[in-house]
Amino acid sequence: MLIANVLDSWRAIDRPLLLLLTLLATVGLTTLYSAVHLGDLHIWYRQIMYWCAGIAAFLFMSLVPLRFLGLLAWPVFLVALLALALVPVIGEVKMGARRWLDLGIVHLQPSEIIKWALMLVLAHWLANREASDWKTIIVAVLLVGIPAGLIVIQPDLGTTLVLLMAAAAVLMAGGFPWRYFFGLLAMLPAAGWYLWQHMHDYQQKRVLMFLDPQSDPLGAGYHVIQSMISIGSGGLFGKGYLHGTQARLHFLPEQHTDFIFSVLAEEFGMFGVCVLLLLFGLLIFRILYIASLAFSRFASLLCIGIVSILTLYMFVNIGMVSGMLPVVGVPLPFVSYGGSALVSMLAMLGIIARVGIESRQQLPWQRGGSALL
Amino acid sequence: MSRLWNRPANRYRPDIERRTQLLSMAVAMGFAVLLVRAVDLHWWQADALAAKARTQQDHQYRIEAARGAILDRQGRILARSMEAPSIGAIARKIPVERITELAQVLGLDESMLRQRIQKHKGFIWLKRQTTPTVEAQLAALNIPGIRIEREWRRYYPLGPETGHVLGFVGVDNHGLEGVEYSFDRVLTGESGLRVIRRDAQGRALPGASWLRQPRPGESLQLTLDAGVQSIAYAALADGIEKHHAQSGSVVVMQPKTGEVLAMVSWPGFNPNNFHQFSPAQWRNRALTDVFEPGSVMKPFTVASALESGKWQANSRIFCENGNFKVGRFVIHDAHPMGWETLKTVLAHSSNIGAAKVALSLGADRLYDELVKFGFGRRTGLELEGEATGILASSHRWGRVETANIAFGQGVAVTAIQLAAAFSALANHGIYVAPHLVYAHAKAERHRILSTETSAILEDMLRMASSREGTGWRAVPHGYTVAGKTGTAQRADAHGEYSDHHYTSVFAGYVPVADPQLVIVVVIDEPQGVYYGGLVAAPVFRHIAEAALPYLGVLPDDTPVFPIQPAVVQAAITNSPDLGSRGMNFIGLSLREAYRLAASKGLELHTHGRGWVTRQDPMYPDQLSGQRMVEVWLHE
Repeated sequence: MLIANVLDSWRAIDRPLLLLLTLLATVGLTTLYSAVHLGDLHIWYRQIMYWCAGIAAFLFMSLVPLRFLGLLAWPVFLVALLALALVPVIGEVKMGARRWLDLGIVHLQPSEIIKWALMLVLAHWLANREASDWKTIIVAVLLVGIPAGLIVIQPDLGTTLVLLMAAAAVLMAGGFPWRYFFGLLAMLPAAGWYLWQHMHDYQQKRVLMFLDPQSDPLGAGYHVIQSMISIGSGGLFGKGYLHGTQARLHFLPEQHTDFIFSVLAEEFGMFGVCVLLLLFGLLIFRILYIASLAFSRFASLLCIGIVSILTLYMFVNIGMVSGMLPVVGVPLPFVSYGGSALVSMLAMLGIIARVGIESRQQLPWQRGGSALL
Repeated sequence: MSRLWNRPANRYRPDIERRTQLLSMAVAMGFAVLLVRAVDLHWWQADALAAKARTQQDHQYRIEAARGAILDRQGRILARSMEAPSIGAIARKIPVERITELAQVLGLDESMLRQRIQKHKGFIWLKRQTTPTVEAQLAALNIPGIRIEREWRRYYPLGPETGHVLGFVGVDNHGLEGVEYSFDRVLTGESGLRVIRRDAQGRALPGASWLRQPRPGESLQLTLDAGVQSIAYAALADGIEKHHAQSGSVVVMQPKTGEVLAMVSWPGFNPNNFHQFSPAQWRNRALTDVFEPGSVMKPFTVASALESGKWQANSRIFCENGNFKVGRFVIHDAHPMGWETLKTVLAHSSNIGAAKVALSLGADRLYDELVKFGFGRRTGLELEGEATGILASSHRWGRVETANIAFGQGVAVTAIQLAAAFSALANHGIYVAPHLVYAHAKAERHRILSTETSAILEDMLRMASSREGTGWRAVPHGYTVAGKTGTAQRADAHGEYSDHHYTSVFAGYVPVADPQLVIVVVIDEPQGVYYGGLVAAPVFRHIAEAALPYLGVLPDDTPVFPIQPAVVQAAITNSPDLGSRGMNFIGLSLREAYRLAASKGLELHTHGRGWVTRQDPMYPDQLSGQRMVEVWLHE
């Protein structure tokens, strides 16, 4: 019986979602191979293992009932928050930032968990409330503000900003009044100034470099300049697979992690970039479509939270490597090398698949939304 | 909890749906921005960024072209470029503990080397243009950071013999002196451009490509004859040594064509390691040094007299018994003379006679004659740095100057000017501009003296070089010589004539019947005897008696003694160590092989580098007529 249920669920998984994931896996692994094939090919093999683990996580999460997730929301959030709070106390320092917790077996990055936990708990908080009365908003702001504050002191500016913006998207979807929204928008410059005052030197330098990368082409501006050279020298159709000179000659830094987009852009040119953007675009809109069809407000908001993080990661990464945003260490989902990011991202997509499955299993009049969307 | 799940989604649906649509629009705007940026980078900025990529990935460097060879008139090599290993290093990559070994192999001072390596980070030259031996030793040591580059090194097989004429090239492969400097443009060629791809750490990738192939320099054929050059150098060196003189120069010229066969100076220097010599030793004295010629100017005074028509060969002239007062000055003769003819004035080299002739002609006529013979201006030889000599304009001459210039004082000339002037006498009055570059076009020539005057002068000069004259020591067995000795006091820095410093000169042509060679010998500050007839004339004879048979010129006089052909051989092979090896090339380095081949007049074809291991034919001197030897070198 159980097996039959499982198979029923999987049969109902959104097919376009699966197709898009397969295509992204192909593009991601192809590009990663190019980035590492002259060096350590074990990275590539490991990434295949991560994909397998991620797919397993995806399939597993597509079986977890949303009711159960709703029950887990608060406990998971509180545990993650506790872990995050422990980081400044007992966390280990790597590359100038205190982000990791040593759990004996694994090195855990609580900020990676808290962002998903936050989306879960925000969706849960707003599931039966409109984000228009003060009490609801203040609690939501506290829910976001505490982890954001803990992450920004690690310091990890990129994750903090992604977290804040994703939370804002969920709040907006949850009915945050427009007048407050524009009011906050007006306060942004003041917030920016405050942030600048409290930034670390290296963070300030990154922002300055972003504003004028040529001022120190061999120092802090090096990454962005090399990345832009890689992208631009690819031209319309690229230099050919495995023939990207910038990457092969190691002018491009961090080419298998944060700057992997430039490898793709150099070897496949604008054509390759358009294909990648098309895949991401289709995936994001497909998830938003699933969100709008979701059978409950909780499911909708959860989907929106997850897709916000995915979208923001993609935008920030591509914006960063193409010189439109300051360099904050944010990976490109599905393409950059990295196990925990990939597995957690796929697990979250499993939740979205679950939303799709449960929506389908509802009787027609119980389903939300118009069939037209 | 249950409230949450029972609450119909539809109740809030319209709002959440609208807001999802708004979020979708925001996402779409984000994508639009990314697309615009993609077009911007991939299309609008693509060329500029691709150019940047090329600049940082492709490293261009110059490959020097081989410099053209310099050949003598028979095509023998006087200068050629050979590949030589140069040792460079990436300073920061050299392990400190191996500097001692490195200094030993390179023969450099260890502490200096250590300092240089520690002061620099990037590429430095350790030793440029060294030998294959050093290269091999260094390769065996296998010290990290050492780079062995190939550079061109100039090699001159004749060494000091051609040093002054050819000059030398600097480390940058450009000529610094002599022919190398004057014809640098022709000889240099065009360097090639090679492009190599480098990674971000600056490591070169295999597979460089040419952007422009190097074009080797053109070779240059000179009128010099390597044999005559060697003969002249040996004779000059011998004369200088014998009289402990300070310096000297010789010019050997073909009067009919104006081709310079030899041009040597002393003190010599070896152009193969020119930096070990002082710039004073680099000077091509035959061209750059002016001297007061003394009596060798008298033929031109006499020529002026004969051309004027006022004087005949047998016109009588009283030589005042050795003391003749002009203005405040008294002119002396070495041997007091009484009544002489114009002919004997020249033969006995009477200063008073020449002065009286000049005074009777007037300054203008003498000046015009000297200018015709090319004094006071450059001969136009193709080398830089030629001196003009000193010949003041005649309107500044008083009686004293006129009288002095008549016997070669108060006028300064160069050896090449004197050679050109005597060529005009040898050509029976036709002046031919001297030249050094072998060209099929004939040199500029014009008549400056009538044939009658020339014939009379020739007769006089023969007498001057006979037992009756001062120059008889210049005459080689079997040949006739028309020439004139000269001895001039050298003026010191204050313009005072010294009693101890003399210049001895002999200029003349040989053989008289059909002049083949004009030879000018100048020797500065001989110790002991200083008369031109005693110091310079024997050098003239040595050159003539070796060079004439070498050039195949038949004797025109009844020889008192049979000619000794052995002299030729001895003069040409002036390198005893190689001479004793015979024609065995095996075991020689490339440059030694070239030197041997040059000294034997053989054409050498080489393969490989290092040392000669095989030669063909084994006995080239036994195969009559074969002038070519092939050798294989191996490291």
